[in-house]
Amino acid sequence: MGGARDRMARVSQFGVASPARAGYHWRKPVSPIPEPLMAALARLLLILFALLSVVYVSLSLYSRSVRRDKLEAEWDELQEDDPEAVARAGLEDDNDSLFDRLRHRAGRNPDREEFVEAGLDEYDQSLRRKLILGVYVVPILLIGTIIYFTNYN
Amino acid sequence: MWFYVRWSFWLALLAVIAGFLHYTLPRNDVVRIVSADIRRIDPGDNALFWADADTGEATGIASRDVHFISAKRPNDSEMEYRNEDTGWGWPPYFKFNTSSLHTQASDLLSTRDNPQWVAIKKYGWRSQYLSIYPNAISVKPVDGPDVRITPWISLSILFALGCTWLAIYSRWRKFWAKRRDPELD
Repeated sequence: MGGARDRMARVSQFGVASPARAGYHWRKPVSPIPEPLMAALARLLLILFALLSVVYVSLSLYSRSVRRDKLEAEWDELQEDDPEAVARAGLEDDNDSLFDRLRHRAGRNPDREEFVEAGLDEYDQSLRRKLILGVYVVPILLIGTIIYFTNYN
Repeated sequence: MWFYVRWSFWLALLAVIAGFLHYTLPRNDVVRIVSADIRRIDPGDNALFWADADTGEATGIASRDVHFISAKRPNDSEMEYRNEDTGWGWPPYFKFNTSSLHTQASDLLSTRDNPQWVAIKKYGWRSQYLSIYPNAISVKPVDGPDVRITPWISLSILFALGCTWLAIYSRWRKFWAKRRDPELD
């Protein structure tokens, strides 16, 4: 008899926790595993990291493609200016543009591919490229600022 | 026909976005605090409009105590605010000082004869039909009932959102314009 009553008690507990009866007296089922301290913070950081990573990757790809377009346009413009003529005339260039540096290094004019790839290599090491990491830094600083102004001001 | 369908869709989408922003962004009320107290609340179908943030205490409990601030507007109508931690959750106010805010609000109680006007910064809506209350974020004493507070924070957020949208939209347009036009020509 006692066993039967226990079973009934358990059945009614399941009933309370089942989604079918979610409503007025619904209780979140208690997990047997205790939640770690600051689980909410961990959740926020995880979601934030995932979202910002999407933004970071998109922005990186976009910025690189813009840089590629610019380099291609720059090379095309140089062709219009006819750098061959400059090279043939043996004129020394006193500016250290990418094109001239590549020419001095290889002893000939770089083709379009070489020029663009070298420009992208330079871009990969530039500060501009690393500034995109601000996608992660700025929101964290922002959260710190909001916490300060909401709670301590 | 499609004209109406399309425009209804865009208008509905616009309404949802506008409603979301109106609910989430901070606004200021100039009021006189009548009482600051604690009431037992059993969130039901309106649970979405209660914070119940995990700031160390248990969450998802059917019945809990919530701090409230009751106030009178300059036009003598009533306004009630809940005072809940938002914690690390949404909306991102990162409010943990519910108890301190309760103390500040209690400190600024005043009577009809000798009013102390305060600006309550809040987000959310008051609806008597849904039993929902805006969440008070801060309480600051002001000089009188006619003080107007410019919502600089909301304006800057709207401005930033507008700029972001424009930046993405213009690039999106350019992207498709480049790919479509040669086919059409």
